[in-house]
Parts: sequence; structure tokens; C-alpha cells
Amino acid sequence: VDRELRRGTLDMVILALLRDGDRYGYEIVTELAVRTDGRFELREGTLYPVLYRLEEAGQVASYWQTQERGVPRKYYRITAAGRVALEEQRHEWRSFVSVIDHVLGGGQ
Amino acid sequence: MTGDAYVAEVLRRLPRQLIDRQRVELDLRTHLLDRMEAGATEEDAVRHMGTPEETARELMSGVVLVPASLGRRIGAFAIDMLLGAIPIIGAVLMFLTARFSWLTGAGPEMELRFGAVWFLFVMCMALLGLVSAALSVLYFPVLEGLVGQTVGKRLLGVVVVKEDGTSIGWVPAIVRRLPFLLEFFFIDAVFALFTRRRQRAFDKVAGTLVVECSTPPR
Repeated sequence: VDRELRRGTLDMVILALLRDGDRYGYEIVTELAVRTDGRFELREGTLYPVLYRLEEAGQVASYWQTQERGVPRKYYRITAAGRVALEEQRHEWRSFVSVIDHVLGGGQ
Repeated sequence: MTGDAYVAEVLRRLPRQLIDRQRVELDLRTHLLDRMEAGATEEDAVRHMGTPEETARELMSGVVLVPASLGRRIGAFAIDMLLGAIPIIGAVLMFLTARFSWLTGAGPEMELRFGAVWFLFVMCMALLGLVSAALSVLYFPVLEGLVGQTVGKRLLGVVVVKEDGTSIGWVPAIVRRLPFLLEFFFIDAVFALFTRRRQRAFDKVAGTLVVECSTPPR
């Protein structure tokens, strides 16, 4: 997937993953790889800037969870505001895609 | 590149006055450990992170950069100039209050003593001149290159960064100081009145920005 396209949709994609359950950073990456068959290649360092942005916008919240062994993990959870934002973005995305599809034509 | 080196490279590019570097460090380290725990080698884990430049740039793109007010910038500059004057004022005071009476006492060796003291005095002045010349050239670029702030900027809560918000670095720190060394500071500074982000002409050339320090969120 093109870099700019990936960058522009990353917020939405992460919100969508968190909608299905709380996850920690690395888990987001692996889950994304699984769901996209590894075709949405993410530079993982850039995941955290997005998470911080979403957190500051109040769309996700984070909490620490200790494990039986190993380092504690910071989990991210989608907030009510996050769900609203995700719905809006999804809507926008759908109509955008259909408009562009219309322009591009049937495409064979 | 090792995980430590990668994290250090990212942190080096993040101005401490604008972003919570501890949070970043913790998150990046944990992420690398998670991937290694899942079976990746350290090198592999680092490669998945992307370049430190990109990570730092993305991190800073989420930080709002507020151009420093002209009042603060002028105030910071005034403080730095006053600081530079302290050694000179000190030297003058020392000279004025020094007691020369013992020099004027009579005696056969007086002339010799006077000559030695005079020689010492001239050497001291020359040394002072050299030191203050070196300091006046080095003060701004070294402090700004190292931490983004001179003493004046620190006291007034402003910091110099690159236009994308990452740490300034040595070359821009030197370039933005050229108008002072080459004596066209005034014309250069006038640009700050008209440019959108209050950049001097050589802020533009160096790609730098003077912004207000923010207490990073949490």
C-alpha cells in the first residue's frame, strides 16, 4: 500500500482494531499484519506517534497491565469519542472510495 | 543497529522542552522487547521500526509548535547580552578597586616589581580578551546546538528547533548565528516581524524556528 495512503488511513485502521478489543502496541502491529495478510506494511516506530495523537484527542485511552513475567504492557482502549470518530471516518472513507471508483470506472 | 542505539537515535532528535521523552523511550523499548520475545532478533526488531529520523519526525508532527513572541525573544537576547557583559564589568571593577599602594612604596627593587606587575596585567587583559572573544563566538551556537537554548532562552521559556520540530543540530545552530558574526544582524532580525512563524532571514536559511516551550501533556 502506498506510503501516503497508509499514513492517511492509519488513525482509522488503529481505531478499528481497538474497537474489537484492547491491545498493546506490538499486538496492534501483529493483528494488522494478520488481517491484511502482511500487505499493510507499517513502520512500527510511527505507530506510537499515532497512538499519542489519538490519546491526546481523547479517542483512545491507555492503561498499564503487569504480566506474570516480563515487562508490563501498556494497553490501548477505544473511548466513546473514538467510536464516534471511527464511524465518521468510516462513512467518509466509504463515500470517498465509491466516488473514486465511479471516476475510475469498472476497471478490467 | 542495536535497540539501544535506535532508541538513542530517536531521542536525540526530540527536544526535551517539547515532548515527554521518557514516555517515548519506554514505549519504543517495550515494543522492541515484545517483538524479540516473539522470536525476532534484535536487528530484525529494529529494522521493523523504520528509520529513527522518520519516527522522530512523526512524533514531532503531533506537537503543536507555537512561535515564540517577539517580546520573549528580545528579552532572552537581552539576558544573554547582559550575561556576556558580566566578565567585562567584573574586570573593570577589579581594576578600579585594586590597591596599587604597595607598588608606590620606595625601595631599590620597586621598578622591577612595577615592571612585573605591568607585564602580568597586560597578559591578563590579553587573555581576558581572547576568552571573551571565543565565548562570544561560541556561546550561542554551542548552547543552541547542544540543548536548543541559551541561558536567556531557558529563563524565558523558548527553544530553537528545526522547522519540523525535531532537535536543531549543529549545522543549523551555526548557520542561524552567521548574521551576528558577519554584522548584519539588524536586517536579518527585521524579517522576524513579517514572516509567518516569526523567523529571522537566517532562521529561514537554517530551517529553524524559535518556539515556546510547552509542558508536554502528562
